[in-house]
Amino acid sequence: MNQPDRYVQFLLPEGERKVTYKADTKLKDAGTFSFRSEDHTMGNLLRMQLHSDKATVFAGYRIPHPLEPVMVVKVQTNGTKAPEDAMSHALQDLASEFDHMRSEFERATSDVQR
Amino acid sequence: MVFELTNTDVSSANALRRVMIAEVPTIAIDLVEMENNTTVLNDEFLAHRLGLIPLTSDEATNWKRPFEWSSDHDMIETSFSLDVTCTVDGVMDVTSNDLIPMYPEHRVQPANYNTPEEKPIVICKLRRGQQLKLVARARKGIGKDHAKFIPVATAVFQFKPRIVLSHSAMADMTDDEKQAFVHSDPSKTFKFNPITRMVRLRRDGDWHPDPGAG
Repeated sequence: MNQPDRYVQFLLPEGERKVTYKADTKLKDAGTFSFRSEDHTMGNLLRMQLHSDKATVFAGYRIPHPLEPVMVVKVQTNGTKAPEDAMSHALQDLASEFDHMRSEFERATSDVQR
Repeated sequence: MVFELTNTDVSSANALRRVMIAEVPTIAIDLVEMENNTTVLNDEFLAHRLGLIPLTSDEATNWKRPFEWSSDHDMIETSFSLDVTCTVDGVMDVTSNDLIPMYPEHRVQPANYNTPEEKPIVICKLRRGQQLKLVARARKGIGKDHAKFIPVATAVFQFKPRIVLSHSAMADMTDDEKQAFVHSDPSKTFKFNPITRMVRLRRDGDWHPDPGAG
């Protein structure tokens, strides 16, 4: 009854923003990103990528309620980068890593076909 | 298919696995228009079964999801017709081979369609006089929406171990101990060479996961 429609899990409703950012009021260089229509697939990936960034002091993700497709990532940096920059670098690194993976996969599968 | 991923993190492998299961688009029957159903199974039961039939989905990349439709040039669905009446005494099977594509040029058909070596999927069984007539429309979707759109039977990943045999330990073992060591592994990863009296990896450094074990 309270459960949102199934399509919301992968389709962003009209007027909703995919990502919202809120700077932390009590901590310095910390902030929370809220992703709509995302789940553990992206959450774990982003969290691990943020950990590999030396400027990150804290990075964690959670899904506040299993019925709602909202994913929250909390980031705290050591001051050399803003949390938004850390997140943007993490996303770019992931994009290039998967691009590379895709080209390697295509190369490997075309070799096998030959 | 088994493929190896190196120099990356567990989260990437898991993300790939999750996407393979839930977010790779497939084509499956989504709407069923019943014309006549005098079988023992009711309409929605049959519609559910029809939805679970796997359809060849190579065209899925060219199709659009129903909510993405924007012009008449967009491909969003194809149709199958089914018209079976049982005229023989005894039980007649309605199978996936009876689903006739109404637009064969779309190249979407049930998996193993009319393949003699494979058994077709049984949809329903009919008795003499029972009839089933319907039109089924297939659309593109993803596993997150409904399990019928899941393209894989399963997708798993496993860490591949790096096995290094200690030569000093081998020198201290007797031949019988080495043989016992080799035999203790049910998947036969190691091999004992009686001429050199050494244990080595069976496939020259390559390890394969257990075919039967979990």
